[in-house]
Amino acid sequence: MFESMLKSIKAEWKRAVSEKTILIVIIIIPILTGLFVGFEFEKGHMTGIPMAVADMDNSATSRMIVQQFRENETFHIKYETDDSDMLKKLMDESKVRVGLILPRGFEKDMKGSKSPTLLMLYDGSHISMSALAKIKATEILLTLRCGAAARMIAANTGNPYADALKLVQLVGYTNRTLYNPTGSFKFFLNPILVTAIVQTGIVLMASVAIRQEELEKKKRKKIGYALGKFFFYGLLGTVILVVNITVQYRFFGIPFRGNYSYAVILSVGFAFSVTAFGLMFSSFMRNKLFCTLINAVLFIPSPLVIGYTWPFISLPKGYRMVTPWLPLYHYADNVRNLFLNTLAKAHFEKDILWFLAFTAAMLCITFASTLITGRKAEAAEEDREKRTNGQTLELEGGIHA
Amino acid sequence: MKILWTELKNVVKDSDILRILIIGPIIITLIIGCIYLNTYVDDMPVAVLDMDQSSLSKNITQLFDEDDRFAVTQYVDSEEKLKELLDNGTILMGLCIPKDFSKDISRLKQTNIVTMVNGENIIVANNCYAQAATIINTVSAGAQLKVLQAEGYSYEKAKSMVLAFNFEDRTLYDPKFAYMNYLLLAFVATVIQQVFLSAFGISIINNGSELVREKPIRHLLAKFAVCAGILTVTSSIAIAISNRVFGIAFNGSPLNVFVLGIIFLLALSCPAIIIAALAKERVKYVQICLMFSLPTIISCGYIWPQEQMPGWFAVLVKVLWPFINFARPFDELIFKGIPLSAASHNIIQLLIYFAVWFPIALLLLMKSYRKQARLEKNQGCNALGV
Repeated sequence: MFESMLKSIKAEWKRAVSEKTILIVIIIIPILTGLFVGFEFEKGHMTGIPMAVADMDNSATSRMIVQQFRENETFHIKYETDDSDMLKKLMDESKVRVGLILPRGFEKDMKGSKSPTLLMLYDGSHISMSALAKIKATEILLTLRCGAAARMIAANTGNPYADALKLVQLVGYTNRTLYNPTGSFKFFLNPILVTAIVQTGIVLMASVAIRQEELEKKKRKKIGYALGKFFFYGLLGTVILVVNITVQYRFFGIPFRGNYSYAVILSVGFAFSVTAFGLMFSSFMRNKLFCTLINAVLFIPSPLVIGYTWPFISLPKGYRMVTPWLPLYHYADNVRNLFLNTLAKAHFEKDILWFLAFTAAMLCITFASTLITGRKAEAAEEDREKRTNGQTLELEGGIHA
Repeated sequence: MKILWTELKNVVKDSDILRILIIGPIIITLIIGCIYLNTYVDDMPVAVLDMDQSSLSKNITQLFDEDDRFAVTQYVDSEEKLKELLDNGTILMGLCIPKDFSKDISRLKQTNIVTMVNGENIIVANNCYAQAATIINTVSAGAQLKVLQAEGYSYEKAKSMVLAFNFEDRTLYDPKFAYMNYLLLAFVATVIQQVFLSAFGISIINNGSELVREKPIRHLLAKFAVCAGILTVTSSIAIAISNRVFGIAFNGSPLNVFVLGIIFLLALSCPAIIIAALAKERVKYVQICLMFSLPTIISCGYIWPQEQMPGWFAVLVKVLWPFINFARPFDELIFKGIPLSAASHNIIQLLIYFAVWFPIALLLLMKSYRKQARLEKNQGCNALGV
């Protein structure tokens, strides 16, 4: 069995070198994608969100408000107009994502204690930009309002400005965002994106790895053959996962706060689980193209359903029942924790045990299926041989007759 | 016409291509649409560390609990415990109300409410922060009003001082920032890309040698027409599902979407031909194409806008792959109903992409399959001992 396993590994390596697809799918594309996301999200934060301002008041106060937005790096005032319809048109044509409308008489109303209202417009069709813009704009406006309120209270009550400011800031609010305090997209997305691409590579190759025509007759050799594929793709996947983690940490500045050996062990568990799943399909499905497509449908959308980007609590019940059976569910959060937080040992151990159990189950099905389908294939082969021999004998008999 | 009919027969005969073209867009749209059925992130678990235990602090806790976005699930007695719950993911936000909170307010002494948010998931963190800020600002304004009223000012006068000016938010097109609206059309666009790549490429590989022998451009056009034609029907069904089943508004013109779609598919046919010429086997071809799904969706400007990418990176993406000029305009043509003229620069770039890459793709295809034909011929001659 050991010999056939080694033979199977060697054969797969030869195939990888000669046909190149394996190398392209499991090594080249995932590593390039790792670099790709590293460069793309290099900045981490969005800056210069295109904005238009309609300052219809054109007073000192309104200009001061506009100036605050101009000085904030989140916004880039691309258009200034005095027509709110024009501003709406710019939003409709996606030329800007944020709009600020300061109505006529804004300053006069403020001084006359009439609490005027300014209007912020956001393009809700681009959430990642608009949600950030809304948070930043609210921060700017609250700060400005705080100052304005303090000035008004001081003027009306005759108290010193400092006392008025104390009153305005009577209930302060501090938000402490842990683990990713700056809200960096790079910290948030890169770990899952580099994992997802490696996962896709492993499963696409493993799902077509067992070739019925290569199976030998003895049971042990068949198992050795399947094990060879398992170790080949499992090890290759592990190496690429670890390389990608290291690249993100070393070259793109994502902090790695956890234990590096945990990352390696988790990567082993994950890569081998995904390989075992792919092999399981490969062992009984003859149509390789169809098998590839099924695995693609199962695995490519998986980052969306494991609760990594869209929270698990917000998933429909059916998904919440199914997704804990996906290997990525047991890997992604742990890896993110290793990058940004520290991974609790209990969590780590629980998921490693899950990987072991899942891999063992998948391998058992793969072995059983390989033996059964192998036997069927042999029977069909023998039948074909017998029929061919029979026809040959009949032919020979006919010729002799 | 004859070539078109032949290609139609070829595609219909190949059950794999038919399955990809017909089932692909519909199934994937349903799978992904169902993920975002709960449109908002609601009931985020919150733990409260109330060191004040006054009626005011209890009111604040109640405000959080009654808010749809939050669910107060635990009460703790130390900051360490709160941190521990955040660390192990039991809660997504911690709310700390300091000791003597209520007394400090009545003594006009500044006090501070602290929220601690698990920032690992930006979506959750932003939602928590935005909603918590709204609640606490309301509490703060209420406290200021009471103080000023106690000093003898009328409610109206006190309000005009505390709220020196108001600001209103109006979120256009998708007022509630629903992820369904934001992401589903991006995935429909990706499925259109992947399905076309797979079907068109497989159809080339199926009879590549014959294709290069005579009238290759006409054969390619016929294949394109058949694949794009069937895909137009099935992706229209996928868009209809997004609209009818998942409630994504269709505010644009179907003709505009069709025009952009066809030009995109034309541009996409270039990488399809190139990969088919290099892979020459159906399974290998599909494996490579599927590997492009993730990198192309990441770099199409959907999650991370084009203008936020490094300049050289955006140019590189545009030179290598046409999806960046399709995904966002496709969404905006449907959802926002932007005029086609607003996407004209994308259409021009797609046409330039096609004009540059098509000759290269055709050349590669001819070279690759002619080489294969020569090899097959030589092998045939060797086998016959000629």
